[in-house]
Amino acid sequence: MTATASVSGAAASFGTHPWVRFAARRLGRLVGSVLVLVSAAFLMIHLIPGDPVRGALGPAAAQSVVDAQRESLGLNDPLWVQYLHFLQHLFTGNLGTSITTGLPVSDVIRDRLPATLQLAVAAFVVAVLIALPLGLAMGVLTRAGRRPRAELSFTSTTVVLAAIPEFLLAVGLVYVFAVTLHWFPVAGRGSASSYVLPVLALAIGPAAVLARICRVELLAVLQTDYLRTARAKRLPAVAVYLRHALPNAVTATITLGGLLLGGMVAGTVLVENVFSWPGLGSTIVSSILAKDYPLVQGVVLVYGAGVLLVNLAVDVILAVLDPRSTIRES
Amino acid sequence: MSELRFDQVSVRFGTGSRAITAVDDVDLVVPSGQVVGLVGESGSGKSTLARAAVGLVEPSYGRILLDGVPLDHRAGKRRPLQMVFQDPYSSLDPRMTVGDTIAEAVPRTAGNRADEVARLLELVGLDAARANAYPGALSGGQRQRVAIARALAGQPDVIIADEITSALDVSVQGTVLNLVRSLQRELKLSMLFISHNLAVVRYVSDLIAVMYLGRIVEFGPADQLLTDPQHDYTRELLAAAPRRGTTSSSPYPSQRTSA
Repeated sequence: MTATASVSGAAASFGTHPWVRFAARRLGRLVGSVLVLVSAAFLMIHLIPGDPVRGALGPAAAQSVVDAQRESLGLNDPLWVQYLHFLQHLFTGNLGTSITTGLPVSDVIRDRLPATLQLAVAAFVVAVLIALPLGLAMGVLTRAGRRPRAELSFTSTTVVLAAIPEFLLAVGLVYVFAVTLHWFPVAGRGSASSYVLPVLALAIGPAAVLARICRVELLAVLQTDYLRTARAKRLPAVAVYLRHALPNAVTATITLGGLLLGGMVAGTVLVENVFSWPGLGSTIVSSILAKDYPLVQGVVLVYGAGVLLVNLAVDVILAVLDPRSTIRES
Repeated sequence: MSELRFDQVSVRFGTGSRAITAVDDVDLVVPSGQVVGLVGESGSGKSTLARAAVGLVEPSYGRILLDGVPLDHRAGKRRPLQMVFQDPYSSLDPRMTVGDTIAEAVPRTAGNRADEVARLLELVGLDAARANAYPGALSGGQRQRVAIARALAGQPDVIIADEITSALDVSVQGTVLNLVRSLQRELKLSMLFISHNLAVVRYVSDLIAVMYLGRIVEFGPADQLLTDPQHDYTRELLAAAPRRGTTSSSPYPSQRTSA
């Protein structure tokens, strides 16, 4: 009935349909974010002092050679002219060539991106697979103030794990499991076992945060009146938890899980450097040190686009799972 | 035949000097097919008594009997007592359709669940097509009708209605009360009807019990209790009920001291 109504009224109410408004609002925000991202990627690296050409050619190169190279790269133009050139190239799909290696930036990204993506996605999957069952189980076990000691050890353990920065965790994992126990390789990307430590280093912190959130969300749902109603029906405990508690508890967990994935993308930068992982994270650090403008801009754009895409995906998934969130915003 | 009997029931919360006796040695009978109205101010122990009856709190002392048999609150058993909760805005799962919510409470032996859901919805005055709606699409009165249908789905002998109209508009309260009264007569249900509102209790009850600080201070046929109250607190309630802006110089403090 509603479907036919919305079809017949589609022409008249095109601008007022909640989903259309949601899409328009979300796309507008995305465009704004992309503009900020592009400008920030350009300005950040250009405002850092230092000369990329001098860095690439070395301190022994003649000043005339450096000046000629700067002129040919357009680095002597005013900043806004360089910015417009950057935008112009960007819209034609040209990210420029690396100053230090002379390779096209898009080739470098194509080579390096898969390693970083594998790391981030694997870490996200592992974090969710640890956090959801752990958080839900702890929520059920510690409901209504039960097992206070289990709750204390859970909350204190997770707060410590969540507080350790991932690069420190990475160094600790390498020391224990690679250097001392020789279970896994110290660094590099090769066999499946080389993935274990970097993925764990990335996943443990977010998993701890997510498990805590998941537990608290479940506890809140368990106290609601409709859970009391479900118990009043004498449903089996499994039905009460899976059918009534779980769907209501996961909304916030998904939102925060998505935001954590965004943070994980940034975390790969640090972890990749600890493990000499041949991804974008090690590329961006070396290119910043070399002031390789085009390469830094290109990689920062990829990282930023990754975070924006994740946020967009989270918003869409949430809107589908919980239509109230789209309506509430308008 | 389904008589609900509270036999010297006490419910205490906390321990030692901070213990509170929420329900204090209550004897109360809900005769088969009759409505007992339970009135009293906030904190007098009305809801605690109801929660004890459905097994949400354990009585510290005493027994609760249905037709002379102590109630069994273990999971999986049929629930001869069903409760309609106070707030229809929070008592229904927002992610489940009204039909699913009701169907869950229908016993497996009841035959076709969809038919039973449709029958129950029509019984409480809702269109059977509403089964596919989510609670968010319904008004407060409609939600409370769903909550009543949900309680009836368990095929109870006794219904406990805990302040079921206090979250509703005054205009909707009347229609819900009419529905409760006609259903009770039609299905010959025994009912414990809890409210702080004497006017509401008077409208639906055959018998009235007055609760004050955890004790039943007066119990009797509705007409008799209302026209000739014996206990001072009942008089106080009656005097306070119809008028507005009464300044209370009551000798009955609502503050409970630790017992």
